[in-house]
Amino acid sequence: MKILIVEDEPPIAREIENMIREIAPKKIEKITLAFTLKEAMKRLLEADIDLCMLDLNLGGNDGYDLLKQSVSGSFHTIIVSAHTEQAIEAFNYGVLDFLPKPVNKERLSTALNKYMKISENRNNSLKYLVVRRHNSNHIISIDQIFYFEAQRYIVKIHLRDKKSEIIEKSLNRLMQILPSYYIRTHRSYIVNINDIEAYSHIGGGVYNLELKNKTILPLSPQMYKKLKSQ
Amino acid sequence: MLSRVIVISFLCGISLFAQNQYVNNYNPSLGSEKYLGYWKYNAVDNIDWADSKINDSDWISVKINEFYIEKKGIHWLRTKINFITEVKGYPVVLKLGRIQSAFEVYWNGTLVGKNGKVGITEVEEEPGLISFALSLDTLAKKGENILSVRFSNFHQMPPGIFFYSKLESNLNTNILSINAFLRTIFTAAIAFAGAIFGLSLFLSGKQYKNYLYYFLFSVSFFISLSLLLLVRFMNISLNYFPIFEPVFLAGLYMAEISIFLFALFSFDVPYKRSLIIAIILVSVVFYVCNLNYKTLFLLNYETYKYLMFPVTLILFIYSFIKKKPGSYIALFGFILYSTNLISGDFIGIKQSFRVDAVRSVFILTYVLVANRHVNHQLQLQKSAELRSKILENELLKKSIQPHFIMNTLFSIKSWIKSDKDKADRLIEAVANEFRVINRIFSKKEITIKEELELCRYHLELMGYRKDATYKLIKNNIKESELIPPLVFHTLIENGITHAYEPMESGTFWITYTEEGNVKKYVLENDGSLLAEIPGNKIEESTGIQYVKARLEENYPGRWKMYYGLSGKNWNSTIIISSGNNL
Repeated sequence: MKILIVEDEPPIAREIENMIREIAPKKIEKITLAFTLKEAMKRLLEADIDLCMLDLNLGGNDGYDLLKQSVSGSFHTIIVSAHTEQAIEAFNYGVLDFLPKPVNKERLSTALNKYMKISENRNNSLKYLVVRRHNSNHIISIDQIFYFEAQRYIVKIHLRDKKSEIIEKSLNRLMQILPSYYIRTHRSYIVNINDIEAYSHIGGGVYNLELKNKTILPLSPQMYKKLKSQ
Repeated sequence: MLSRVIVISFLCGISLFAQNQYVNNYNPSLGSEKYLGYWKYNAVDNIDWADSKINDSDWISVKINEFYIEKKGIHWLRTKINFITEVKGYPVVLKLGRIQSAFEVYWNGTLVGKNGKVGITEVEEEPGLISFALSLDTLAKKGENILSVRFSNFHQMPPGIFFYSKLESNLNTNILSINAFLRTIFTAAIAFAGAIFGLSLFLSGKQYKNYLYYFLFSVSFFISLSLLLLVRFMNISLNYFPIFEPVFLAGLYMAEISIFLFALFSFDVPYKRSLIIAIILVSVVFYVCNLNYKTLFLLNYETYKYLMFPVTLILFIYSFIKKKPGSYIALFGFILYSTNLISGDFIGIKQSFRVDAVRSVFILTYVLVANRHVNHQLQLQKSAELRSKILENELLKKSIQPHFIMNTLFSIKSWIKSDKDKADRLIEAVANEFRVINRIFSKKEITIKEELELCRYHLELMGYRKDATYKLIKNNIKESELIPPLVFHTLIENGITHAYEPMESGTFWITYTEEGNVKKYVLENDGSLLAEIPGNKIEESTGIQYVKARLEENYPGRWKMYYGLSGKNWNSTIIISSGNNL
């Protein structure tokens, strides 16, 4: 794991680092600390990280912009904050977890586990995904989303109005923050279970998924079996 | 509220009106002259002049209300009184107030009464009573009667004396006298009640200082009425006149001044001092002239009344426009009161009744004005208390904010592991800060010494949190000077957050200067982040709102605060004036 800790009080940042090293010493590849907003923004854009531990109240600001900047990245975000009222909003934007200060070691351990496991603990309060578009952050409401398609280096979000957006997070990472009605129907697709119209076996190990507006997508054999058994 | 005023006015007016109507309807037939207007005058003394049968057609015709003889000696007056019907059974009273200073009354040739003792010289004469009344009873017969008066005027009062010019010679019934008597007592009682009310309100608190003038008005009015009662209805000798006149007049002038001052002090009118001096000067001039230089044209009470009316009216209108509490009723009451400037009878209501009714209503409406004032004061008090509580609350919230407490605890946790000494000192700094806050949180003002003590602990605490060192340098501080709590604490908090990067050390300077009654504090700090603030774009944080609310609460309208970049440093300046508005 490459972890970025964004926190303006150095002793606190160091303590978070220590705690992480104590919990999962073998899993850590690198931990970077950023104390200022400027430094934080730079590191977040570099994006050479897997996980960001983020204090929203950096330098007295309310952190909304910082939050958007963080969740639009390819990495996961865990909020570490003194203000628990911010938790709900943070989850609306797709953070992996929220830790109140002072950080409890067990809670931190649970959060790190969320990072390491895929498709357990889904976030049903997700409302928005933030994508980066031409140097600015753009908010997409979750009900605008039709399905996700992984392409070579990015993930494409197909919207219901036939437009599409590009998001930096991988499908694996997305599965960790999407609500439970999103399923990984294929190596390259995440679909909303409520949009599924029909599924079929074409033949020769090829399976198809038909969505409500007649869109046909490939379906993995395992998912086909799973859908059939429900 | 207005309905209450209307009801009271209506009740007062109607009771006096009823008396008036009763009198008007109860009228023995006296012929065309209820008041003995025209008399015949002779400067020569001769006992024969009493005889009903002598011819007085060559005598000088005089109007009794304007009658005044310079020449001292013994004179005679005669008049005819015609009774249309028998007046037996009705007590008829003859009042000869106008004739001074001692006289004998002859009715149809017979001596029927004496007021004092008529004399050839001043020494021989004994002045009579101010108000002389004679009951005619069976003497009055149907048809023509001759009334003759033999008088000497050695103790005569100069003309133009206010008191005297209102007294008339007239033939009237006892009931009219009783009515006037009762009416005067009734109004005097209301004036007395008003005085008690005004005095008690004045004594109840310093926000009711203006009720002193309401008290003075009522007392002046009461004095005037009491003197009237004495003069008209009691048997007071003419000798007392020289005392009554100045006092009575003073009462009248005091009443006018008091209403003016009441309006001035009730409604926060500007230029108070100049107005007071002007009015008192003018009033004194008028009063002195009125007493001593009676021939000085226009410098008398009548003109004074008409002069004071618009001046006082402007004050009431000003308050009404400014919507001061109670100004609406006050203006109404004053306009009602000023109808007594209109002379003459009015739809059958005699002037005297109208004047007294209106003055009574006036005194009563101001009870309602007082009601308004009291309510307003109570509300102001409540808001002030509420504001105090809100600020206290905000102060406490600031000190237990999650950001402050959670981060500090987390910081302690960190230092315990990496540097136990620093952890200990951080814990101490926190304890010290809370100790001071606990001591000062409910105070409206603390010494600058306590505030800077708090700031010192806070800087120490923040130093451990940011892993830096912050200094506070004091310049010319007067430790006993008072300021509202957590003002500099807030500014320093802002400074640490916005000026310094983590682990960057810094310095705060606080300087105090005093010039006359203006006190100035300047808080300055350095910091590398200050270079990045675009121009003078300052965001108003909730911290600054707290500071401004505190300053306004303690020094309303006489403080100033500004802040901004000054070279490389940040400057916050607070100016407090102990004089009037800045």
